[in-house]
Amino acid sequence: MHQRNTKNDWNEPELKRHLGPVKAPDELWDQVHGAPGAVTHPVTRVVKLRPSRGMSWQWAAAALATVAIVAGITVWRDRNMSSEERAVRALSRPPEQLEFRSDNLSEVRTWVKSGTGLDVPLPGRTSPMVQMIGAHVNRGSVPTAEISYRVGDAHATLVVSKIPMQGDGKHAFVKSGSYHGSSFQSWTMRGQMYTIASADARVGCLLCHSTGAPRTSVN
Amino acid sequence: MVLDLGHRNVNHDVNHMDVIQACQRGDEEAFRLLFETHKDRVYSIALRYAGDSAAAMDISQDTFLKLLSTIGQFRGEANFESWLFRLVVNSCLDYHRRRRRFLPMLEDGLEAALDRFRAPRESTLHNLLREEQEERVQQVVAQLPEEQRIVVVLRYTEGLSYEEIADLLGCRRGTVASRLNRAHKALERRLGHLRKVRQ
Repeated sequence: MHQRNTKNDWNEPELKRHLGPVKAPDELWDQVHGAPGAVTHPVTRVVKLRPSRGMSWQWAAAALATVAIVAGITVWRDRNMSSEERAVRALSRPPEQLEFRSDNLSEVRTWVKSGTGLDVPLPGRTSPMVQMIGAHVNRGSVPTAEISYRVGDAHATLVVSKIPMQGDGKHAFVKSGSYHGSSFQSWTMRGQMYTIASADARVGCLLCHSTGAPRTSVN
Repeated sequence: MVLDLGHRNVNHDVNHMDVIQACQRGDEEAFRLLFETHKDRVYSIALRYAGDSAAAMDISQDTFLKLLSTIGQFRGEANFESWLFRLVVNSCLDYHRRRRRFLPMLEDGLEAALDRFRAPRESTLHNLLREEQEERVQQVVAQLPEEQRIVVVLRYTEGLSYEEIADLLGCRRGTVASRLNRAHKALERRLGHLRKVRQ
């Protein structure tokens, strides 16, 4: 025995006597065999319980690559999505999925600004038929605000995003037309792009014009 | 370093690479054979380390499940027993960490239980006294710091040499000796009365 200590001489036989081997209970096999995930094929179980380090890295690398590719595609699509596509997609969003629900102009304006930095001068109620429902923002690579309205029995959406300031920043018509069955009108103003989408072009006009006649579409 | 544990009571037929290779191929009978051969030693270490049979069952189960899941990695460069011992030691240390995380007050409860045993008793049945003593020793050992406890168990339950323990734990022989010495002193303080009983 190494490091023998006279005072502790008694320990050795006592410890050997009291700490000696014992028989394992018969139930141990049942416990091992019945453990969750225990299977009849040990090698299969290797994969299930503890994959080898090499496999883990391979899976991790593959997962990371997939996430990177998906994220890249998402960012690319986000950056390259046209304003009318954004507006028409926003039009299909059910009201219950809006992040912020309110019919108060200043509340919505403040909420949108805090979420995206976009200052959207929302027009007052132009018609008793027009009711603001709420807003949704996209905080991705291109911050975008979507403001939803109910116009009579129809819906309309105003989508706003930042663009480089051009000229004096005054109201400038960009385009109008139809995209995937919905009408849209786009214009720029003070470094922001505005696009209204609705099922019917006349419905969209009512958001800003009580007469429903856009002044800028003839520019 | 490859441990030579062949001098102990081992069924060398079972340790033969054929059985291990059969186990690696998924032969359940081969695994059962390994289990039957080593279950007592695994359970003994677990029981002496943890201090109670329920925990020992859990540690043993964990060890054999680890064996089952990693036996494909055993290439035969090391002695199978020393490899298995490493699994047991790891399971014991895992158990200790879990216990420390979830039952921080256990030490106090154990101390109270030990106080009951410290009360003087007039023994009438020798085996009852022996059982009590054994339980007492086991409980006191279970109270030792983790690094001392595993050394004591490997030394007195398995009878490993200082070198073998050092190799299993990945430390130096001097460290093993020092831990064992500290454990002896702690046990002397707690179990000194056993010497008087025996005298």
